[in-house]
Amino acid sequence: MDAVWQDILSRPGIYAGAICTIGLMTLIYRENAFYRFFEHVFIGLAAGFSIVVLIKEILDPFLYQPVFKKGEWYWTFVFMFGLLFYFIHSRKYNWLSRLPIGFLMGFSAGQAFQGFANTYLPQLAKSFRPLYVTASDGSLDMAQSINNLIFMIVLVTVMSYFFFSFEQKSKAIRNSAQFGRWVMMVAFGAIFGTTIMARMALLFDRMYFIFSDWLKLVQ
Amino acid sequence: MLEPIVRFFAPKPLSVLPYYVVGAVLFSILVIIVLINLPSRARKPLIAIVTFLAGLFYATEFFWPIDIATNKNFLTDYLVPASKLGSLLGGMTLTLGILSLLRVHGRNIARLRSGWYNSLALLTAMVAMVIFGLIDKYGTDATAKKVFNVLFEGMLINMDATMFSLIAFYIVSASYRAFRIRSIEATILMVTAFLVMLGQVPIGNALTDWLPKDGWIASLRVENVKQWILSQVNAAALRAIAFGLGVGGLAISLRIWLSLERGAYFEKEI
Amino acid sequence: MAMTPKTSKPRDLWERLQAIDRRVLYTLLLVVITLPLFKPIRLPMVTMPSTQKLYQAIESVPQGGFAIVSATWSGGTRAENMPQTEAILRHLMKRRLRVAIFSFDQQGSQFSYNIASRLAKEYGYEYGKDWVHWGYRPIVGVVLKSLVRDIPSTFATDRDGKPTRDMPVMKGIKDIKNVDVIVEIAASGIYMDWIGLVVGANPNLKFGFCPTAVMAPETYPYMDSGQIVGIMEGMRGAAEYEKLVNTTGLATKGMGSISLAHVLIMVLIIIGNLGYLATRARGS
Repeated sequence: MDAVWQDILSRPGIYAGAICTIGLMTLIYRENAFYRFFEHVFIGLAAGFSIVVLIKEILDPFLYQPVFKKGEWYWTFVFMFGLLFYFIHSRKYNWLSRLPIGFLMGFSAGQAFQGFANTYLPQLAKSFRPLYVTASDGSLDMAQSINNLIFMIVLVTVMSYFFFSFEQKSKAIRNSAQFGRWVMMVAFGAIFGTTIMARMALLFDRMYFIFSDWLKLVQ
Repeated sequence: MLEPIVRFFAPKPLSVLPYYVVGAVLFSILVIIVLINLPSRARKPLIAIVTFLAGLFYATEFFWPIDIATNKNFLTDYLVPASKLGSLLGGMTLTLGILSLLRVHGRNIARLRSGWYNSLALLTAMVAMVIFGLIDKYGTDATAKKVFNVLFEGMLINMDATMFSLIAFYIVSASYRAFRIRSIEATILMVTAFLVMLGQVPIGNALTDWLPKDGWIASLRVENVKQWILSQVNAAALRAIAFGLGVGGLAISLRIWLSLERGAYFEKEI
Repeated sequence: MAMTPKTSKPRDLWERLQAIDRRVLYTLLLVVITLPLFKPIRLPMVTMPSTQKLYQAIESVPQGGFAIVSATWSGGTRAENMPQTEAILRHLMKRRLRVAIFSFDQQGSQFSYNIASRLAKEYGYEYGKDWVHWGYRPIVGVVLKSLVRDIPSTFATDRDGKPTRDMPVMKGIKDIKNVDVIVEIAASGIYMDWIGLVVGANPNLKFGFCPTAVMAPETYPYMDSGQIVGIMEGMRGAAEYEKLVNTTGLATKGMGSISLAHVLIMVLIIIGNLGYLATRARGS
């Protein structure tokens, strides 16, 4: 028994983590009081951590240090402006919170032009692929040529699916859009496949934590 | 002409700093009082002006030609202050939900509503994290730092990871129950998903490990099939979708910047 | 979450195949995930071109070059993003590059600091001289715009509030033109901000991205256009990278479990569809 206590005292974080993990995992059986309790603890810790981050990583370096160490007193105005966010909890004056929200939205909207140009223009340029590709010895690179052709067909048909999403009389456009729909399913299938990988990885991490980090049953 | 203003906003020595800080707070409170009493019809235009001016800064900074010699335009030097301003302002949204949590759970405890002990656990956890988190940063007490480690790495992180990991169970159940080949689209989706799934795990790679690694026949190795799907068909299809999203995103940004956006949030009477 | 709703009893084998109890599914999943922990499966691991390209990009940076690592992830995606962060930092430190780390996620800031501190001891990296942690930043766009023009002012202090300007690690670093490589490790679409606001500003800059597996397909168009030099795709990508940097981490250990879980899901989907097709054929 002493050995167990000693182990708990030497690795309190691991034990606490294991209890919390098991507590939350009980949800897969059914919703229960045990799960509810740990869910609340989780929310409390996350909220508390937000306060800690606000103080030590925002207010300290961006308000306290500039104002009280460097004398840049004007940051006080920004802090007071930021306090307007908290009027969101006031039924009567919640419109005031829209001022800083609008300000941040404006910031983001103003950057959108640069973002669009830098993101999509190179994409557009790289979409025009040669359909006749030559290898280094000057002969036809059949595989790359076919790949480029497929790439172009997929690109055009998927675009036609969106651009002509209203009812079309032209059979060519209808067929193109239909094909575009099918190739989109290939992309969605790929996303589904990788989603499985992502979720299984998360569960593996939990099992590894329990059996290796906590119980030390596996290396 | 601008010199008095620049001088006024310059950093101040410690001897006069408190006066400026208190003055700034009092002035801001005065402005807030004025804003509170602003007539309804002036509120939306005011928000529109603030949004427009904020957006104008970055839009102008991008479109305005730069001086070749300095590689700057007249706004470039203000990017750093704007970044600090955005960080401070954006950071202040981190704790927006805390007041609601305090109100709801404080009331649960005060009225001993059912499940009040859960609310108590929530508030206790929150307070503990704040205390030990701040000691970890500003204090020297080794025990307190250890407690913070238990709260952060031991509890918060593990609970966060567990919450997300629960999805694994539901995705297995959902895939089994809902993934049916009812149409051509569903069949294509399933075949692709299978190929990608096989291509991304070593057990799938083992299936075609007997095929040569070079030459055209190597293209049939399952990991190469997966790579081909992702880099040719998937990349082209998602690029076409991205073009639509990009144009749409730009249009929405423009509408937000010019306060032309419609919808519940933007049209609500204030 | 709640118990499976009570439905009418399956009539025959084909209907039963479509109605396996969820508790059976969950138990099977737990078994296939856990079993390889006790009985490891040795399987061939092929490095994908996307991972290889990222590795090569970092290899091509000369010793002493400057790398920025952004760790925008939290505990929820730890299984994928933690091995990625560790593999990238290990590679950068092995290559003796100068490393600056920061995060757009509150937890990611703490995580990346802990991982880097541990690896720094292993590789003899000195804080302030060989690496620095710039801390957490809440808003992406404003920071990236400013980073392009003036790095020392954008990150004037580190996560402990110490001035960074005079740190040896920042020597010669003025703006984005002095940065050789940027790696973003994220569980979100933040790579779009990097591409839109940073990547084009320095033609020699190599931008690598380490997303969760679920996000990997959407990043392929950007790798095709060269805006992203390479991608480390979730846990599988991390396992490949661990192999490239000669280490065995969480990702490599997990490949057996992940493999079996994939097989289980495929088998379950096939069983469900067999039942469905047989029932439909009988119905018609």
